Amino acid sequence: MESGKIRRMLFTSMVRISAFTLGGGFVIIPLMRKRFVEELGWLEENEMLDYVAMAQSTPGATSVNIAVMIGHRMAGATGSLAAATGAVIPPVAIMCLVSAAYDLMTENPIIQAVLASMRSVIAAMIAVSVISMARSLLASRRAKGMCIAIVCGIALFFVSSSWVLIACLVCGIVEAFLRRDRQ
Amino acid sequence: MMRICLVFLQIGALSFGGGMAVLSMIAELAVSKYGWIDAKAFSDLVALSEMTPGPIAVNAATFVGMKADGTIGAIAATLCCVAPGMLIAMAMEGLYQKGHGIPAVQKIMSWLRPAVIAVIAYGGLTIFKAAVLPVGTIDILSLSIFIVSVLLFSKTKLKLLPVLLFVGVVGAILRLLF
Repeated sequence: MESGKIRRMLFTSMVRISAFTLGGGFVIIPLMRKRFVEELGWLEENEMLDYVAMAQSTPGATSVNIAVMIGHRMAGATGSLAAATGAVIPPVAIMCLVSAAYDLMTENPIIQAVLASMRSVIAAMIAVSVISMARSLLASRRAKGMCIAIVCGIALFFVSSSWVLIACLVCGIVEAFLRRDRQ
Repeated sequence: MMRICLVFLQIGALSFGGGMAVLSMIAELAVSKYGWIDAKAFSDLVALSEMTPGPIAVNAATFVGMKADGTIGAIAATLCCVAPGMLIAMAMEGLYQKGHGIPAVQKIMSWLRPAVIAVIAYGGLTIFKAAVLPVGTIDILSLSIFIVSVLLFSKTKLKLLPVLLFVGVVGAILRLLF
């Protein structure tokens, strides 16, 4: 694929994805995964997760940083710019409009009903994404156990996800260091 | 204007740990220190960030920039807020492409991947709770939409956007009728 077309696709994909992710944060990641891993086939399942992990340890908005990484991977610095611009335009535009019409949005029953239905669809899409990622990537028993333990830790004890990722990073570095001779 | 750019460059460069970290920095800098927005506007900002798409950092930069300097301020603050992360992310991606064949890097990533899946699953749980258990009891319509959507996504190759728009509108009609 020629790089101009890739940049256009990065931009339009990110515009569409980021226009529909209410709540931000980790909700947008399964949407990006569906687009770039399943629909376009630009990344492997594990690469997507590596980008998420790296973007989490980068300052700023995680979703923008993932977009930047995918853009960089596919089309260098200009690809990053295309993806980041696409990711940022919808929220900025919508925020400008909405802060003007704030009361209308919170009280309009039609808007509220549409938003409520969309939330269920997104929850469903995340559930399917998580199952598909777990099937292809959680091969070992350790990985399965870790995953379940971390979900419980965050949900029940409000452990912050950044600390979990930092702890895992440290464990990974320690293991890589201890086993370096055996490779 | 200059000051807003500097403050958001700072927030963009130092906000590790996601949305809540950004909000606490906004509270400290934009509310207490510089007074660009007051406490009431800050609580509106939190609500608006929940209701509008996009990361909280971007929403917050747009909102504060808008209050302080209009549309130009909104755009400038947003650019400054994402620029530092972008540069670092580009550098990291470059390193990753060079390094991801190395066994040690794979080993480290094998520790991180289950954690990332867990964090995404938790995000899913949060939105599932907001959608299906909005006031603590099960909302039957939302649960049905959830189940239908799970089937659509797992059994068909349908893309997200058409499903989202179609189900959003049909669901809204059903909700308003019953």
